[in-house]
Amino acid sequence: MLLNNYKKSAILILAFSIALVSCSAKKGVLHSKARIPASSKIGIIIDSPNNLKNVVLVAFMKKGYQVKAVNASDLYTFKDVYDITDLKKLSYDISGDTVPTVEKTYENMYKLHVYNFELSKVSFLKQIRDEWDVEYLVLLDLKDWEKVSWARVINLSTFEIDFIENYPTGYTDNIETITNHFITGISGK
Amino acid sequence: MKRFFSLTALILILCIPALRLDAADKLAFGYFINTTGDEEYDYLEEVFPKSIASAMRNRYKVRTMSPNKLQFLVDKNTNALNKAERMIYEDDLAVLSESIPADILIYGTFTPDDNNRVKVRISVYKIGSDTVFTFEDTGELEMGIFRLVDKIATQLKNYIDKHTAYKLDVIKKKSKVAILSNIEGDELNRCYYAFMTSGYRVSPIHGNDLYSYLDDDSIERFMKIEAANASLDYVTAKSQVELLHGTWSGVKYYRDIISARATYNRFAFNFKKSMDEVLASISRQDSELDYIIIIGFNDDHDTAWYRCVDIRNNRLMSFQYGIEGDSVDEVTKKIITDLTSPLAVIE
Repeated sequence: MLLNNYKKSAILILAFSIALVSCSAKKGVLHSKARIPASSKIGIIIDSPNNLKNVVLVAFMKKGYQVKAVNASDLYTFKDVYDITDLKKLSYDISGDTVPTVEKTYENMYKLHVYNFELSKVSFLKQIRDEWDVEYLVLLDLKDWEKVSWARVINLSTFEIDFIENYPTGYTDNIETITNHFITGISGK
Repeated sequence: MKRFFSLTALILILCIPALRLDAADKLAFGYFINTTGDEEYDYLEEVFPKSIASAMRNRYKVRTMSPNKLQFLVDKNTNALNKAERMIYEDDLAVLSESIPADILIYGTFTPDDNNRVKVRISVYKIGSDTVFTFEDTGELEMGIFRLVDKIATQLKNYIDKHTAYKLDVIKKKSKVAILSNIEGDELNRCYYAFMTSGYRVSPIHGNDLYSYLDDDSIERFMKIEAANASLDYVTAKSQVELLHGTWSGVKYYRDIISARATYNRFAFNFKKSMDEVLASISRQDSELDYIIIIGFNDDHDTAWYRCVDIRNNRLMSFQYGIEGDSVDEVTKKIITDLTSPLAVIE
């Protein structure tokens, strides 16, 4: 009987700990460096079907934002710039042993590609700013109930992240309410 | 006179009481070679290893071996006046692994200048591993050696311990940081949140994607790092990549060999130059960016390692391994604490 009580207590403590950690991970966060004025020119990056994407764009337009046509679910594809042709001359076979100098060569090649990839993205962001006349880029990921939707706003003139928010999607939320929630945070109204 | 002050400093170091009693690593010391032709400073070749060993032994209770106890160096040292024979090269490390009865080998070089200062370059090799950690430190000669040895001993202690840590300096307040990591979405926001609420400006580099292309495996490729002042890198030696050729090699084979040699030269032996160039390019694109911080989380995202690089001069500011917390938030806060805390022994 006593042992059963201990077991019950242990299970309860374990369940409580898991719930606590889970709640902590799903806790909302919001940080805004500055209010993004409603008349700003923005581009929106969201990975959703076009009909849902339109709901998001319309919600921003209704609030007065000048939404630019950045029609992409993601800006770039890593495969486009990760050229693996350099690797073909470096194959080696020494009975499964790793050779540090060869490992280093592979890893450094990868590192350089990553940094060059980031450089090309920075150039593309400048192009979006200068040629498409976009002031802010809004990244949105809208999730179902029990998951965390998030938003991030990049100021293209300062190249800084001006706004971030994690919003645990509620049971009664839909794409419109989540978008409006983020717009309230972004605009400060 | 310089010799007198340096030896006085050494005696002072020997008198410092032990602070820790729990470590038991055995450190073997090689000679620290004078890179200048000025023989006036040659006495420091033994003073540095002996004084650093004393500091480590007395403060952290580790066991040490002096250079003249290393059979490898004794065998190699057929001509005591020949500096090249007292020097330890990365090519030697694989052989040394089998012959040194110690856990860690520490060796280095030093370069005195005309302003009574000395730059010491220290290499730390965990016997049997594929990694060598090298860092530089500069201090004053004579009585200043005491402070220099003290700093070096602290760096060594932090690196040798489970933390595998290094600290050149703290990062500037309100600086602008770019974060490369294997977390994405709401978790990356949490990481950014910790930096932003601590007063740092966050660059959108890497965070301008909805999804991270760096996964748990690919971020591991950033653990090794080579910078202007320090490196935590593979043991690299040209002898490891023999590119065989001879009269039997045809034109195409020879062309491929030349190409492979160029690739190794660029990515293994002169990679710092490529990194300097790419960091300078990023700096030109965003002149306000101060640091790139690479954070690698484990599968559960409750433990991480980090490396912080000053983008303007490719200096490694700090790194640490095994930072634990309940969540990305807590781990990130601990990273920020470390980035902003001056060099001290990590308990």
